[in-house]
Amino acid sequence: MNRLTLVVLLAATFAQGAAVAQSSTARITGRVVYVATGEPIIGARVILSFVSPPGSRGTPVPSRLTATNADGVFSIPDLPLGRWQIRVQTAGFFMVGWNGPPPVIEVTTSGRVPDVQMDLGGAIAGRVLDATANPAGGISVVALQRIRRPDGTMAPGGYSVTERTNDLGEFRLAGLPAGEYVVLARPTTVPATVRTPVASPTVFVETYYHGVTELAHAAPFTVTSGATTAALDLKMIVVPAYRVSGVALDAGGRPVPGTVVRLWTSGAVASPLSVTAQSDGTFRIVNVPAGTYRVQASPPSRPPTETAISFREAPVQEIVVHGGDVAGIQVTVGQP
Amino acid sequence: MLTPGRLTQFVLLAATFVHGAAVAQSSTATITGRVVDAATGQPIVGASVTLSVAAGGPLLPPTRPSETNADGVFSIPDVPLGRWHVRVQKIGFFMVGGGVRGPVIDVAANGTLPDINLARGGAIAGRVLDARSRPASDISVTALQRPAGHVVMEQTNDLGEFRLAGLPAGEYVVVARPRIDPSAMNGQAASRTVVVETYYHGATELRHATPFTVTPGATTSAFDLQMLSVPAYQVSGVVMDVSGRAAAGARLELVPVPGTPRGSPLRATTGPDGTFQIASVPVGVYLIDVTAGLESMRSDRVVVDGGDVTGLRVVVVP
Repeated sequence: MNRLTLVVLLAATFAQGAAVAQSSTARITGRVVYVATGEPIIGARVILSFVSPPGSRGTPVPSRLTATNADGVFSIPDLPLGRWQIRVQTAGFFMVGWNGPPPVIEVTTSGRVPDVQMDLGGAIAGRVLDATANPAGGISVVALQRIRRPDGTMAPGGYSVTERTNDLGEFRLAGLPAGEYVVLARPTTVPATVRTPVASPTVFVETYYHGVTELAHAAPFTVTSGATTAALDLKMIVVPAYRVSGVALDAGGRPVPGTVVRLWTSGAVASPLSVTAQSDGTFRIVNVPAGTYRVQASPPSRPPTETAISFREAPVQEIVVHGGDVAGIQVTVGQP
Repeated sequence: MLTPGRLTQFVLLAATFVHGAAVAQSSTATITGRVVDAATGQPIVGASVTLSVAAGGPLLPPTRPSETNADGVFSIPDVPLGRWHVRVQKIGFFMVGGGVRGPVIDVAANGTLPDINLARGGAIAGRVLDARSRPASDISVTALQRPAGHVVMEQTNDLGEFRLAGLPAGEYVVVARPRIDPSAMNGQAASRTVVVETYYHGATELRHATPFTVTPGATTSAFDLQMLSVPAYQVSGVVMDVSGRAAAGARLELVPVPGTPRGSPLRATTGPDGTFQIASVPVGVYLIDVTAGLESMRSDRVVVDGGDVTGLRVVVVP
């Protein structure tokens, strides 16, 4: 058994074991319970993910999904033998031991795993308003646990829950283990990877309670088990937005289409703004709030075949966006 | 240029001839537009705009969604030429005159659509309880406009609460189902009772559902909906061909006849010996759909009532 192995399957009898040893799959059953009362939890999502042995190659084993029945029981047939990680999700609850190593079962034969214990979390509820103080629907709101460092300062990390505001701008972040949390509203409803950005004169920026753009200035909430902490209205911060444009070149000054250019900041925008250079090597990143950014440029993952040049990351440069568009940025991704 | 189809509600601005000649070479176009609140004319920020292929259009997946900016403007580049539905989604709103999939445009060149109007809909809010009257979280609740029409689905939160918003005025029925799409599930534990689709106020059938009247901008508060749970049994048997040979790998589905409570889809695949077993079948009357090789057929009625049904012989007739 491995150090991470938390649950051990019931051993089959020897006679059965001999027969089962021929098989390369097994059926696993288990039960999900509320730790405080031992009551079964009905309709919980149970996800099993295969833990690939180190160095293994080949087709990844797909994850398996099921739900607990009226007795809180789940059963997954035809599991390839090996190590599987169990995750259980049910609104308002969190897995006991979430902050330890994830529970892993060693599936060697069909059997029943020990009960998966869930505990009732606390909740933070509130409302998000737009810049004109109207309810902002469809906004992502995140509760992010803060962990106290040994030196007494607080750092983000630990548990997090994300929800979207309803048409009245209301949100409810539930199932939070007791602790200190900051809450932030994220501007977009569409993941950045699938978004087609449209240049906008102003943009929402990530806004923390009570109306700040920096994590360091965020006001924390204390969450206790089974209780709802009511948050005040959070008004999204809207700022002017600008464009940053330039060209990606190789060492010989030739354009490098497909270069991925990212703008990183520690300020208002937590995740990088990114764009791919066009066929003439030019790029334009829209909706950039004022601030200081690091420009990172990665060469295309598949360089054009006609060039024998080897590419590398461009040296990181810093730019300041303040009160207007920034043009003429040159990134060099070619080997000198 | 852009030619209107029968359902076309929007007409794209024609590009100039000079422009058109250049663009005609291209097989894709950029479509831009603006989304506004029909009542106020104000731009709607953060609406998601997606194009999906219309009947007779190219066989392609929907476009990547574009999100409207602070001016309500969206832009979708690289749209393959052809007929597309324009679908705009913003929580709490519905497209005026959009139908279910959105109006159709004929994309033949770059163009700007006339403003797309969204109207703030009404809402139905309520709470779902389990069979023991405790709040039921993770339940999928759907409002269905009657007769056919608008559909909005949400999930209950940890308090069992739901809010279905953006509904055009009209009559709706509300149905609650277990959240997980059972077709995505890999096996299910057998159970002697199963939660079944439950319509307000506690009916297992659409025809016994009590409708809600929704008016624009108002919230209709629904009473607590208690999920119904019914006894369930196991159905097992064997699939064979006319000469009595076991049909391995045959796929079966129990299809509830009207009046039978609906739980999860009830499916199975036969083993090497042709046997099958379907657990947690709600009491009621079913037909069995069988697909073995290239043959598909539907069986006579199977009644599940008060006990397991075993030893069914399903013969696939070519």
